[in-house]
Amino acid sequence: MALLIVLAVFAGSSTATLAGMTTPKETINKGLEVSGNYKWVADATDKYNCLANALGDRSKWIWPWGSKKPTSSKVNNYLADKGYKYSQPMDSQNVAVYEIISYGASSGIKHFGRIVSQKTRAKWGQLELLEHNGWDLYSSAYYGNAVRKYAVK
Amino acid sequence: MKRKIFAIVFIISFVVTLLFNNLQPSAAIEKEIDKNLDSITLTIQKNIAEKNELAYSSTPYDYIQDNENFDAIVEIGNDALPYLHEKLANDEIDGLEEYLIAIAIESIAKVDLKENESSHWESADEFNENWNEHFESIPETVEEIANDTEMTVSEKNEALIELGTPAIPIIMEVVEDGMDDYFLH
Repeated sequence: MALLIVLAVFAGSSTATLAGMTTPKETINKGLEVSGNYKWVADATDKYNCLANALGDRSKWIWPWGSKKPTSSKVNNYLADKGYKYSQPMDSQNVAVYEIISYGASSGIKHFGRIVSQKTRAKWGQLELLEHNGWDLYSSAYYGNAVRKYAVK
Repeated sequence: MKRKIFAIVFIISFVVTLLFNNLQPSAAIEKEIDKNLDSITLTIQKNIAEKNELAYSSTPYDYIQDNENFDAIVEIGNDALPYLHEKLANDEIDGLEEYLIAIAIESIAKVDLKENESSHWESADEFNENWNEHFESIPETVEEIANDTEMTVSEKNEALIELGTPAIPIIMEVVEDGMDDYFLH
């Protein structure tokens, strides 16, 4: 009974409700190498983007470059300024506490993910913040290959 | 003589732009900006609803490509700047829509604050701070350029152009004080 009362109070509160996963699974799966490799973490929004999430700041849309997608070298410089001074190509065996991954191509980076153990958390443009198994998980449809991994070290 | 003609043509072009951009009443401009900003917001929401490829992009500049509402705001010119700046300054959100307003301000003012390390920005709030600093420094910078005896006319023109269209009224004031004494050193 007490549990029911507590639930009723919460149901009647003004707390914003979460929309959950609103993007159709077919759309998400198109962007993934392995279908179904995603879990909802936060709602779709245009208030922050993948880079902001990767840097641990979900309060803003961060894009320090211009209209042209940045090269890997420009991303290296930017992330080094943010404290991520150590970076390696994705296939490097060098051990470090990697925290951020860039995606796309060396000539044009278009997406970032935040490493959480063996998983990656990434905000998909204006869509949801999702969690995926593995670090190199995208198909070529939207984001493509993982390019470099970054650590504070 | 050629230098003088070049400088006069340059300044006249500023005057013409200034006069042209002052023709529209502010209420109509605000209405026009709001209408186009609403349409941009609707387009963004439509992108999410329809899950088209643009919705996956983190690059704000992707959202203004071939966007007629954004172009319409930029076409208003200098008269749009105070209202756009006010909107940005009063907005507590620092998201994509605000970033697009920042791009509109840069496009109208014909400045690229990201070019310089000191004014580089990465979110709308940061742009707002740097834009304020840039705007407030314009009178002093114009005076410095005007009084510089080592710069050529061409170098002065380039330096003035980098300040963007908000520098026009200040340049006009200096010109009224006597163009030969300032810009033709």
